[in-house]
Order: sequence, then structure tokens, then C-alpha cells
Amino acid sequence: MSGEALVIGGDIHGVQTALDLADSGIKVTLVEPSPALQVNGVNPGKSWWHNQPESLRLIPKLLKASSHPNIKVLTSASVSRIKGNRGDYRVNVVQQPRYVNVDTCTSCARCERECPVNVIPLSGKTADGHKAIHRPDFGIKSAPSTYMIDKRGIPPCTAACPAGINVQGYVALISKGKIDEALDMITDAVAFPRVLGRICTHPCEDACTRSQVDKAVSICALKRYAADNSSPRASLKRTHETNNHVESTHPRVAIIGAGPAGLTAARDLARMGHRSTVFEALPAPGGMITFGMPRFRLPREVRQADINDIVRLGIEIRTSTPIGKDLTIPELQQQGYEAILIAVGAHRNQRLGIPGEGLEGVINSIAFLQAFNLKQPVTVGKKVVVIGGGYTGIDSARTAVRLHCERVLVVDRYSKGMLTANPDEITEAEEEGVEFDYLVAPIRIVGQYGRVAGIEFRRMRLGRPDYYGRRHTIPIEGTEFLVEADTVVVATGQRPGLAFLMGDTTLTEGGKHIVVDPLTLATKIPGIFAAGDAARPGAPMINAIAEGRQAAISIDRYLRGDDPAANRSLDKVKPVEVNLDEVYIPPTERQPLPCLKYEFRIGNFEEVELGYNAGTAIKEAERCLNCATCSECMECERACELGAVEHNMTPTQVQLEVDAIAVRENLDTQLWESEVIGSSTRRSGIYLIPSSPDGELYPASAVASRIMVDLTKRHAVDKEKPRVVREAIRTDFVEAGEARSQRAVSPEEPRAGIFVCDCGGSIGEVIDLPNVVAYYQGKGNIVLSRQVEYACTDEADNEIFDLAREHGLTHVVLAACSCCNLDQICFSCSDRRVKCKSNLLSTQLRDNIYYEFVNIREHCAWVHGHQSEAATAKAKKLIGAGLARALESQPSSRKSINIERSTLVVGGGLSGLRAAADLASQGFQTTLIRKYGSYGEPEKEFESAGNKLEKELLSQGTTVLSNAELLNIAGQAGRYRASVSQNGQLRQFTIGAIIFDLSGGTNNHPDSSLTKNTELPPFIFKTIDDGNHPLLKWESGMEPASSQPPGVFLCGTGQAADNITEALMQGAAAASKAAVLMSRGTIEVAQTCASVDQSRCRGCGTCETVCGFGAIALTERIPAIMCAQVDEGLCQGCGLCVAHCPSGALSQNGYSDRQISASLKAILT
Amino acid sequence: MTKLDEYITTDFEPRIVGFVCNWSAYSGVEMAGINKMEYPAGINLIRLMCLGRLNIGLILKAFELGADGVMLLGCPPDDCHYECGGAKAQEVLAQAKGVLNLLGIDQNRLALIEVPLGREDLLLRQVSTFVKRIGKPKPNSRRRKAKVASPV
Repeated sequence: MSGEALVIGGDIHGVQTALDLADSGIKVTLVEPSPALQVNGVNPGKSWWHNQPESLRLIPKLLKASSHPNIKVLTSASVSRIKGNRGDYRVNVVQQPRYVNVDTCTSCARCERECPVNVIPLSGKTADGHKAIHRPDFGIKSAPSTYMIDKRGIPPCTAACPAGINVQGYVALISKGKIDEALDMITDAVAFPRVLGRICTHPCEDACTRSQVDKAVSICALKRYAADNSSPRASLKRTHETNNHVESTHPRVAIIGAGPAGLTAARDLARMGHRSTVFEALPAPGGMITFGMPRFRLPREVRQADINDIVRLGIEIRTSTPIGKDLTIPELQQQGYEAILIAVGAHRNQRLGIPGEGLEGVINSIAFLQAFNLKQPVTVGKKVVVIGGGYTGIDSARTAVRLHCERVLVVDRYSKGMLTANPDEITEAEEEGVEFDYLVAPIRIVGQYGRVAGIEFRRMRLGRPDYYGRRHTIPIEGTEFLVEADTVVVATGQRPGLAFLMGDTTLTEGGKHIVVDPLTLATKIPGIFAAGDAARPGAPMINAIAEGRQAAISIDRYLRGDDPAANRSLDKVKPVEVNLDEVYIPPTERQPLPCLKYEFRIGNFEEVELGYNAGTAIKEAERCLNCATCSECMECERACELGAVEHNMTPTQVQLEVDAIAVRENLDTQLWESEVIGSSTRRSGIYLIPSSPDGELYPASAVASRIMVDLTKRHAVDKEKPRVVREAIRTDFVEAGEARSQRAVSPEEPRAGIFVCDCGGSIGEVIDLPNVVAYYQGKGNIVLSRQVEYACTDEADNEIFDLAREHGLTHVVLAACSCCNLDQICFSCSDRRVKCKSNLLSTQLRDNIYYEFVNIREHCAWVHGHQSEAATAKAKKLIGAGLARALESQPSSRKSINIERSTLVVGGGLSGLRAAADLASQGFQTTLIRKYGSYGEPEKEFESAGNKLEKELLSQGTTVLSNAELLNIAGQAGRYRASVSQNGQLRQFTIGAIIFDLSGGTNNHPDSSLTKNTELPPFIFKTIDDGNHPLLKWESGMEPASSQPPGVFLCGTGQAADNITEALMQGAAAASKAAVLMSRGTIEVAQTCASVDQSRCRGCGTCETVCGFGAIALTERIPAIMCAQVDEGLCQGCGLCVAHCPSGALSQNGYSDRQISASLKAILT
Repeated sequence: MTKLDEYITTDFEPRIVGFVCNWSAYSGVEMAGINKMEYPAGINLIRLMCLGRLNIGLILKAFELGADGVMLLGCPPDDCHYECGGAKAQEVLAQAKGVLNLLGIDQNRLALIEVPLGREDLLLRQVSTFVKRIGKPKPNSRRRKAKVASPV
């Protein structure tokens, strides 16, 4: 029994129903599945439709609905459940997030400018490309115009990254040249951005959707570009932020091994507020990246810079402090380390297991690379053979080749394509002169005098793929051959060195590696964790880093006593897929990564890959297809000064209690399959809003009438006084509108204030606003000139109110996006403009300030984007014109005319009966006149429907005048005087509304009370005498069943003659419109209504002839002196009469001759 | 003294006043704004509820104040929001052109541009044609002598 209604489906039909209900004082919730109300019926989402004149004309309705005090609009929402019965429904509505706060966003487009993501236009469709954050509809004014973000999920690159870096995000940032922000995004997830940018195995690139078009985006190199080119200040800022966060107490965590996993964990723990000590066996931190990487791939300074960034967070690294003999794990625990992370990596080489491995000159690749990096002496012969074509193997070979060896040969038992090393690297090695031999396996190493002399190999072939698709190699007998060599580097994979456990096997499995829980990385012993190669050997560096991150989370939770497994999962997120058949992507070359030329590589250890420059990096980043649409780069969040962007928005549940529900019939909701059968609903109190074939809106109004009747009946506990109940449920919102009157008194000395809106920079970036503000400071009557940021926000309005009061302003000119101070909503208006205006105008009367609005956005800044200087000059002129218009304004107050709350229905066809019954059952005083004695109808179904209605009508005590004819209508709008003759007897009615049932004029419906002799005022006659009855077709402001003169409604036209449903709907629609008027009780006078200066009128009557609305007529002011008089209820405020008045007696508020001349003067001088 | 015809033969940015009807034409101007379609900053628009509000006096006032051109931007006559405003505007246009001839002002400096709703592209095309015509008038020695003074 809330007395409220729910309308589901926010297209124009749903909006019409909601508006009728709301206008009659019923609170309505309007639920629309798309992000904005729609002008069209079926919501095709096509931009072409919006520019059709028909839809533009309907936009004011949407704006009105979205700003109506009685309508609550829920966009991106759908009804999930309806419970309860007629008159008492409990409805659950789920509102999908739009990621932008509807109440805060001012649609200033600042975020859109910063957004790096261009959504690919769909081929074959007219929708243009747009940014990931955008207005709900493109190229038109949408209501609400609040921005929204398109999010599709997790992009494949991010899903593929073990460490979960927001890859699409930083690539998008780089495409905008935002390097610092990109690096922030990378380091948010991982340490070592510079190192990863060089040596990462980039699974992201393998997953890249672009690789299905041409080639994957060069993500790894882009990361390197960001890491190498960010400003040092940015990295310092990050460090400080973390340092302020760390607890200054004793370190609680010991980390064994200062490799990628260990240092990552230490860094992440620091960021979570835990201090840690890192124990490193080798003399320098970095582990494999320090000792296992040759300098030409990873220069020392680079990796040192990354390590320094971590150390700077206050992490203590104790180098040359091996755990084991001198310091055991239990001893660490005794020292007060509550948690221990084992991240020792895999530094032990796998053995070949063939004869001759012990010979002098056989060296394992780790020891080989480590010796170089530790600057220990290594003897390398002239003929080097590297066994194993993995990363370490190739690195070893390329190191050897730089030492002027005669021949460096890499052999592998697999084929070229099956090598784990990056193909680019193999190519680079080949360029440098490294030879390769594939599908060969060593049988034994041949020695001479204890030294290596050669290796014997055997050729292999690939076997059939096994269950997992792997192909094993099978030796080919008889293909043995000998290769001469004096150094053999064994690079057949590494395993962790677990000697530090001192033979304790509780943590390990077969002494090979440490066993951990795959999710939490916890070992069997509480408080001891393991990450990286120590736990799972053979994985690339990015996995070690990812595990370091996970270990840090587990340790943090362990120290805090939280559940380590909560909200974590090993399940891979399913990345979004782009249907490449649907989009056209022009092929673009992957930008090649520049390399040091071969001649400059030999004999030195200079870095080979050189990285992108700004130009190539941006070009490469722009190749990204933005699979997930929004990249979550957070640029919009940074750009929005109002904090309206909320990326973490989730769907919200809204609970509603309503008495009646109206649903658009074409709404594609699963719910309706259970609720709707054909053209009716299963439950009473739920009404379907049908579409009419020609798109007319009266069915929507008809539903509104049904709901009005329904609600009134439900609440009519006291049957004697239905009106009291009706007024109780219908809130009196008219008050708010009345407060919006204009200044009533003219001030003696004007004190003007000028406020200029920057609209979040979208105006200021073209117009030199400080210049404009300064120009008007202290000029003439101007006492105040200020710039405001967002004039349509409450904060700015309050600022304007306060300043206006403080400075005693009488006239305020706001230069923003609004362009008039009228209440009306034109089809050129926008929702922010409506808000801006209504905020300021609501206080107009209270403060006695005249507000004038000047549009410097759509009329200046946005159309003169490349003429900044001229635009600034123009803005000054426009403001000057607005000020002149304000100063020339005449004091006037907003008028409304009280109407007679009674309705006359003329004609007793089905439509007329329906209209009268609907109005009467709502307690409105209604009279029906008809020509014949009773409802007579040749067709049977018509007859039964008519008789039913007639019974209903009579039971409500409605006055029904049979055998009656309408003679004439006179009087003024709101107080029409109708003369009716019944059986030759004359009766007079004063009425506020009159409904004509025109079906009476046709042959099928013999009952009409409108005769050819009826005298109607010309304006009414004009509306009716048209054979097509155009006023049912969206004329006069698109109001169904309404005509231009207020209070005159039509029904029973067109199809109604031979279709019962049509006839009833048209009648109900007219009833709805009349009920709105009856509930309001007033007619609003057009603000631009003409006014007569009687002293100047010479009674020529020109105005009377030009007025198309019969709103102005000559009357006798004093006997024999004729003078023009305006019927304010009828005046539409076009100003035609003003232009044609020869004596200047007529004027128009807001557009008087003086105001227009003053504007011209301001513009042209 | 601003001399209108001083501009005529020189390369200048014409000062143009556009009287805009609140409905189709204004909506076109707005859509041009939303879609950021650029036009010369010398065009200044004055909004009216309907072009029917204009009389010759207001049009001549604009020329008197030194406008190089005056555009009347309105709806097609059969689509007037107030039904007969468009037709009245055409009458006023014809009268005003006659007076302009008498005053020695090229009557091409006054134009009525009727734009259907939703055709901002058409609106801007017609406006730019008008601006080009004003910016590069044909040299006419007789008219060059005509001077229109502004009160400032």
C-alpha cells in the first residue's frame, strides 16, 4: 500500500506512462535496461535513429522524466523478481554498474579525453568508434547523460600473466605517452620492471589476440620502454609512499635467497607493512638475474637499478650469508623470525649422466655464467660445445662467442621449433656466429690427458606425439659422430640446491625440491613457505615473481592470523574473447625492436637489444586491440575532479514496494516469460504497455489511466470520500515549480555578477577564461566576476548563492552550457542544463535575483576549438549580450491559472464512456453528454463492452445527459463555459477540461453530441475540423490525445471506429491527460507569454489576425475603446504578435525589442 | 566609425548575426556543438522563440550596428512549431530585402536558412556558404561608396 507505481521499460512509451502518472502526483520508479532512457520504441541502439526528427522531438520527454521530482529513474537495471499481489507488490531490481556515479557526474567529457582506449567500430554498422568511457548514446543528448564505462572482463594478456600485471592497462597508458603511470601500473604488480622488460618469457604475447590478426603486440618491449624512460621522481614518490607505510619494528620475516622470488616477497611484505631480512649466500643480491644472465642481455646497471628500488624500501639484505652450516632454519626461528620464506632458486645443474662428465673443460652453464658475473677467471677453449638449447644454453653460447672462440656449437636433442629459448634470441645468436645442431644427443665426452677433446653424438628423430601431445626423441642407431671440442658447457636444466636443509627431508620430496601447497605456498611446517624455483624448478622468472607475490600474501595473512586461502583460487580466469569476424582491424606491422648491429656486438658485452623510442613505442602500443574494452588504466579516475568514476562498482539490489506495475510489451526479459501471456499479464495489477503500429503514444497514456484508477480504488478505504484519499497518495509537487518564479521587484540600482563555468576544462581549454573573467571585473554595473568549475553541481550553486548574497547581486549571468532562464525543456536541451537551471532558478524568488544563462560551450568553445583567440573574444560578446538582456528585463512573476476541476465528456461512444468512467472512478467531477438515450451499437461485442462501461459509469453516480447536444463553448482556458441543450432545455457548465469523443461522427457509432451547428471557439474548431484528426498524432508537443488549447482532449479517432481495444485505449488516454490536469488544478502560463501595454494599444486588431492560437483578441477596455487582451492560458509565447504590433504595445518576456537590441549592441560593438 | 564597406574588399573575418528559432534550427546548432563541428567564430547567434518574432526593424538594427551579414535560421515553413512563424519570417525577409536595396546594402547580406530538424550538417553547410559569400563579395564600385555607420 505504498501508493507508488513501477514502470518497466524506459523507452518513449514507458516514459509516457511514467510521466502521466508522475504529473498526476503519483510516485513512479522507471526501470530501463539500457544505460539511458530511449526515444525509440524498440531500443535498436543505432545512432542513425536518434537524429530522426521524430526522435529529437521526443527528447524533451526523456529530459522531463529524468528530472521529474516524482520519477525515480533506474538505468541499466532489470527486474529480477516480483512478489505479492495486486496492490502490494515487492519487486527486486538489479542495477548493473555503470562505473560512474550518476549523482556526481556532470558529463564534462574530461574523462573521455583522457581515456586511451578506442573501441573498435563494428564493421558494417554505423556506430562510430568511441572511447571506453562514454556517454550512453553517441552524438545525441541522452538522459541521463552520465558517462559509463564499457567493461568486458579480463583481457587475455592479463589472464596469461602469472603475476597478473594489468597488461592492457599499461599498454594503453603507453599509447597515450603516460610512461610514469604505466610504470606505476607495472610495479603495482611486480618488482623488477626493467629486468622483466628484457628477459621475460612474455606469455602475454602468446595469448595476445592481435597475433590472430597479424603479430602479437610487443608487450615485453613496451614494458621495458616504460621502465627505462619513466622519470626518476616518479619512482622516488612510490618509494616514499611505501616507506611511510612500513612498521619500524623488528623484522619478523626471514627470506632465504635474494633472487626474484625472494626480493619480490620482501618488497610486497614491505608494502604490506612487514619488515624482513633477506639472507643471500652469494656476494651480491639478485640470484639468477645477477649471476645467471649475461650482461649483453641484462646490463648490470639495469638490474642493479631494479634491486636498488627494492632495497630502498628498507629491506636488509645480508649477502654472503648462506643458510646451512653456520646458520640453520631453527636458529632463524630462535632469532625471532616468525615466518620464513625459502626462495633459494635452482642453481644446481642437472647432470648429463654420460661418461666423461668429470673431465677438465666440462663446465655447467650456471657456473660458467656465474663465473663471468662474479669476474672469476674462466678458461674457455677455442672450440666450445654447449649442450642444451634453453635460455641458459644460448646465453652461454653467446657469452662464449664474445670471447673470440673459433667455433661455438649449440646442440639440442629436439628440433629448432621445440627449443624453450625465444626464437629472436636464437636468431641473434646465429647472427653472432653461434652454430646450431638439432636432434642430436651426446653419448659420451671424449678426453685426452684428462681434458676434453671431443664429444660423440648420435642423431635423433621425433616420435609420435603422446597423450599430452609431446613428442619424444628416438635415437637413430648408426648415426654416431664425433665433434671436436675443448670446452663443453652443460646447459640441460637446473635444480634447487637444498644442501642448506642439512639433510632434513621433512620439507622436500625425494630431496629434489621443496613441497608446498600450490595455493598458499606453505610447506608442511607452519610459518615456513617456499617460492620460486626452490619449490617448482624450471619455471621462468615471471613465475618466480608471481610466487613471490603470493608468498608475501600468505605470510602477511599468517602473521595476522588470517585464513591464508580466503578469496584465493588457482582457477584460471577465463579471458574475454574478441570475435574477429565482427570487427575489421587494419593490419599494422609489429614495430621491430632495434638491436645493436652485429659488428658492434663481437668482442664486447654491450646490450644487444636497444629498446623502443617514444615514437615506436606509442605506435606499437596503439596496435593493442583492447580486448577487454576498458583497460582499467585509471586515467578517467585521475581526470575526474569530482570523483565520479568508481571502477569497483558492483551490481546493486534495489527493493521496491509498489501498488501497480506497467511493463513495456517488447521488453526482452526472461522474467516476463513467466508473467506475460500474449498481450496480457498473468497477474492483475500488472499492465502491459502496447506499442501502436504507427508509434503513437496514447496506449502508454491509457495504461497510466488504468493505474491511476487502480491506485485510487485501492486507497479508497472511505468510499464516500475518494477525493481525500486521492489527494493523500498524490504528492503535491507543484509547489516546487511555483517557487521557480522570476523576480517580482525591479531593483533601483542593478548590481550584476558574472560566473563563468570551466566545465572541467572542456570550456577553458579553448576560451581563455581568466581573461574573460578579468575583462568583466568592475565593468559598468558588474560588481563580481568569477570562474566556477562545474556550474551544474550543488557545490557551485551554493557558491554562487553565497557570493550573490554577500555582494548584494541583483542580476547574475552564468556563462556555462545553459542558454535560457525558462522552465521549458526544448528538444535542444540536455539533462545537465536542466539541472543547472533548476538549481539556480529555484532560489530566484527567495533572493530576488534575476538569472540569465549564456551558452559558451556548445555555442563557442566546442565549435571554435581551433580559434582560441576568436572564441575568447566571442565568449566576451556572448556574456555581454546576456548581461544586456538581463539588465533590460522587466520584472514579472511566474503565473499559473487556476482551473475549474470538472470535466465534460462530449459523445457517448466507447471512447467517451471509457474516459468518463476512468475520471469518475478517480473521484473527479465528470459529466457525459450524448445525443441518444442509451448506448446503442450495431455490433454485438461493441454493445456488451459499452453496456458494461455504462453500468460502471452509472454506479459511480456520474451525471449522464442523454439526448443532449453541445451548443457552444466560450470563456477562457481553464474556465470554459459549455452550453448544452437537453430535450430543448439549456444547461450551462463551467469546466476545466473537455473531452471530445469523435467516433460519434462515423456511421458505426450513431451516438454523437457534436453537431455541425455546434459553435466552438475557432481554436477548438480548428483542431477538430481536420479530417485526419492530426492532434492524436504527436502534434502540440507530442502529448497523446491532447490538443494545443489546454484542457481540450480528443479520442475516438482513426482505428477507434471499428476496433474495441483502440476505442477503449483512446478514451483512457484522454482520461489520463484530463486527470493530470484535474490533479494539478492549474495551467502553467508560458514564460514568454505576450503582454499588452494598454496605454499604447490602438486597437487595430493586427495581433488578433496573426495569432495562430486564438490567444489574443480585442475586447472593450472601456466602452467603445477596443484594446488587445491576451488569454494567457492559450498563449504559446512565440512572439509573432509582438513583431507585428505597429504601436509597440505588445511585448514578450525575455525577448522584448529592448532586450534583442541590447543583445545586438553587445555582440556587434 | 565602423565602415561596413571598408571590410568588403579586404580579407576580413565577417561579423555575422544569426537569429535562431528555438526549435529545429537551434537544435541543429546544439547538435553541431555536441559533435564539435567547427564554424567561424565571427558568427554570433541570438535565440528567439520563433523567427516570426522578427520584424524589419530588428533586422535593420543589426545592419545599423555594423553586422556584415544577417542570417535568419529557422524551421521549414511546414514544420513551424507555432504553425505560421515560418511563413511570417518569409514575408519579413522579402520586406527587409527591399529596404536593404533602398539603403544600398547588398541584399545577399541577408539570408533565410531553413533547416529541417536533425540536419545540423545541412545547417552548417548553408551557413558556411553564406559566410563565404559575405567574406568574398564581388567588387562593386557603386556599393563601395555606401557607408553604414554604427553608433559607437
